[in-house]
Amino acid sequence: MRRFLVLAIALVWPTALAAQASIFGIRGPGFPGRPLSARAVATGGSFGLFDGESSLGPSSLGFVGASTGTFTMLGDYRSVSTPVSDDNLRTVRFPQTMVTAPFLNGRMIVGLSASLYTNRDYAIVTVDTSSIFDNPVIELDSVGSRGSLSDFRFAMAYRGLPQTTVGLGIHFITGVARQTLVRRFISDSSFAAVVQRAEVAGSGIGLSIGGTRAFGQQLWIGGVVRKDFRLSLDSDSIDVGSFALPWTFAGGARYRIAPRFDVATQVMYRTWSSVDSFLVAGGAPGSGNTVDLSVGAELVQSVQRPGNLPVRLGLRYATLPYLTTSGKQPYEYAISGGTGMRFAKDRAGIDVTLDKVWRKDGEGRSENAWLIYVAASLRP
Amino acid sequence: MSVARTPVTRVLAGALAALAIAACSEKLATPGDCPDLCPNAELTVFDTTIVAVTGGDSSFTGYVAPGTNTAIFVTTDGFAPMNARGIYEFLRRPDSVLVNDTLRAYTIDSVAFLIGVVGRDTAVKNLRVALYRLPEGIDTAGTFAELAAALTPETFIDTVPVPDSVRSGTARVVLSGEALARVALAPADSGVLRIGMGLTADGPTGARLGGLSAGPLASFYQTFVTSIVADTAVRNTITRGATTTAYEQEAPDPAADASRLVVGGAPSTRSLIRFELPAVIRDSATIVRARLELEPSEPVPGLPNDPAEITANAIIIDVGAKSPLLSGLVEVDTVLAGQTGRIEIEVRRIVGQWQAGNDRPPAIFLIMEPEAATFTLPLIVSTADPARAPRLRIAYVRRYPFVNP
Repeated sequence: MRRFLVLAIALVWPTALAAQASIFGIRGPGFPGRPLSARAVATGGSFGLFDGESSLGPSSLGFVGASTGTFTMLGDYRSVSTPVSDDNLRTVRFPQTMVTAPFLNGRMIVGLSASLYTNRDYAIVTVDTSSIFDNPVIELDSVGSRGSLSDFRFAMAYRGLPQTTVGLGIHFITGVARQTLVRRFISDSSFAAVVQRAEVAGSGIGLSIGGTRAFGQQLWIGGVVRKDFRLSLDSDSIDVGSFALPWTFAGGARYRIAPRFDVATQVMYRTWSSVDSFLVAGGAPGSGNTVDLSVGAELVQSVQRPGNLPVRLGLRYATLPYLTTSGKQPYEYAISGGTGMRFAKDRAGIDVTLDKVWRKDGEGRSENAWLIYVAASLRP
Repeated sequence: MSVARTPVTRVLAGALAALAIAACSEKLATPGDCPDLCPNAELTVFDTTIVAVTGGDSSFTGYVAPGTNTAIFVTTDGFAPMNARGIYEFLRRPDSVLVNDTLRAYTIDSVAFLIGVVGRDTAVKNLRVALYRLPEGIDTAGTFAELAAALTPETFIDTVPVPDSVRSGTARVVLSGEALARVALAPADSGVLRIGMGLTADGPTGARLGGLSAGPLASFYQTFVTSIVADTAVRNTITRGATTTAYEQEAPDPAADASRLVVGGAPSTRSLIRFELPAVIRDSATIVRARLELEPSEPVPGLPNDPAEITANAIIIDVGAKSPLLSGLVEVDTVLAGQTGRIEIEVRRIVGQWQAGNDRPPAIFLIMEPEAATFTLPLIVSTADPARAPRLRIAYVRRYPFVNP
């Protein structure tokens, strides 16, 4: 237990979380994150409810075999195309950290995780001309935000029931977006640059409950229902309002076609329209509910060492929450693959995932991203 | 077995390290596709004009005395802004010099006058400073008429030609032979040489000659002397600077009244202008530009081609004429003689001092520089005429609504 606490403090507490930003997440609370391990991402997310290192559903802790600490890094290399310009962007973040530990002879598993809830990393530059002091002045604006909402989850799962694991999680959603606005009047040095900053902090809580049931040795069915309550916002320590966070409903199935070959599928529905009124009140077009569909497969080399050099593949389609001005809902689809290896007598491991994502809004804006996940895990 | 695993472990550890290093190289900025992919909030620049508080503007005189700053004024007859003659009184010249540790008498070989020219109008050619020996009884306590009457052919010493190409510098003339009699000191002079100065040129003009604080452009005279020591002629130079630099002008400077403010002149006049800053600007706005606009009531009197600077100064507290200036916070604009157009001074930093957090008084002190040492004397329409009163034009932005999605 002591080693578990050391792992928890070392891995979870200081972690600054963020992950893939997107041009489709500039508005609203930010681009939603995915509480998945590198392994689950490699299967398109379809194994998320059956993967002990993912924090999508609390009952997936039932798949944990031993105390484990996982730390995931993500490299995001994006090409952005809009009617205004094309550009290449890159970021590196740490989207998922998790510590798990079984106790009570393995019947109970506790998990502490920190994952990305929404990401508000962006920086946009615009040029405009206005008339000030009766003269046209060219204004160069740079609006940026660095930060995210993180989802700190404390979850427990019980797998003492026949063929069934149930879990409960409590989520602390908190984070800060450090926002800046810089305006330079590039055509007239008489005007001083405007530099304004704010720290917009959000905090809220959520609850999740989930279960997984095995049907024989080949089929697993899992599901989770999660409710995130209102997120309170303050800007530089001044209360500036709140908005409702979405419900999450997810269900999935995993089927073992052969002892070394599993396939899975998952459907997730999130009621992001809960943010709509807040966005519309602020002048934004609003938001809609999202659907996330994924299928994936995992082929392992050895049943005894499934984490060593498996082949994982996945496909995914999802709608994105924030509407365009014309009311359309952007979407994304992805293909992913990955593998991993275990060493040091399986006490340590690395999983690598390559995720190719295409995002579009149907109005000429698109984003192609290579997402490279590298996760290190320790089983002390 | 472990031997076989080690290289793989190292490779993977290297991959992790490479990814970590890559974290130092982020690029997030992209051109915004607005309004679709931009935050909905906009930063609007507001452009507003604030007229000075009616009756809150005043002119105060007596800060810097004539001749005590960098320059005195000397003019030809007919120069419109003023008619002035100058006075130099030099440090006492000793009647002996120290040679081989012994004071010895000397004979004068020649005398040179070096007159510092601080400013002039180079468009007027053949400028000459006429030097006159001032008789007893003519001094700085006198009047222009008394001084002008003393500058006669009988007291004329010589003229100092100022090359046409010189805008500022030192002009020199040397007297020798019979001319030395014009500057000979009598016992009653107590070794002190006092001269008066007029100006001649191809047209009406003026010149600013070195005053007490002129530094390298100070005026002085040199006496080249010879002492005989053991059948050997020993040469020395006695240099004496002006200890009194003054001038008399025929008519006083224009005075302030209810309809106009005065900035400049000698003794110098400053003007204090008060404003009332709206709460929206004072409390939270970011000022991107603030300009003080002043309307001359008439073409600015001054010496052509000899620009001066009008400065706007913030004050620490508002106690009227003696309001202490906030050091290091001075905004400047150049004023030209004959200028009829608006005087505009960028005062963003000063107005920033009026905002919450600094809370300095919303007032500006106007001062001409060099104070009491420039012909330039703007006369500015006061708040008695609201349409042309001093005013601030301010461009500002309010707090950006960062929470606005």
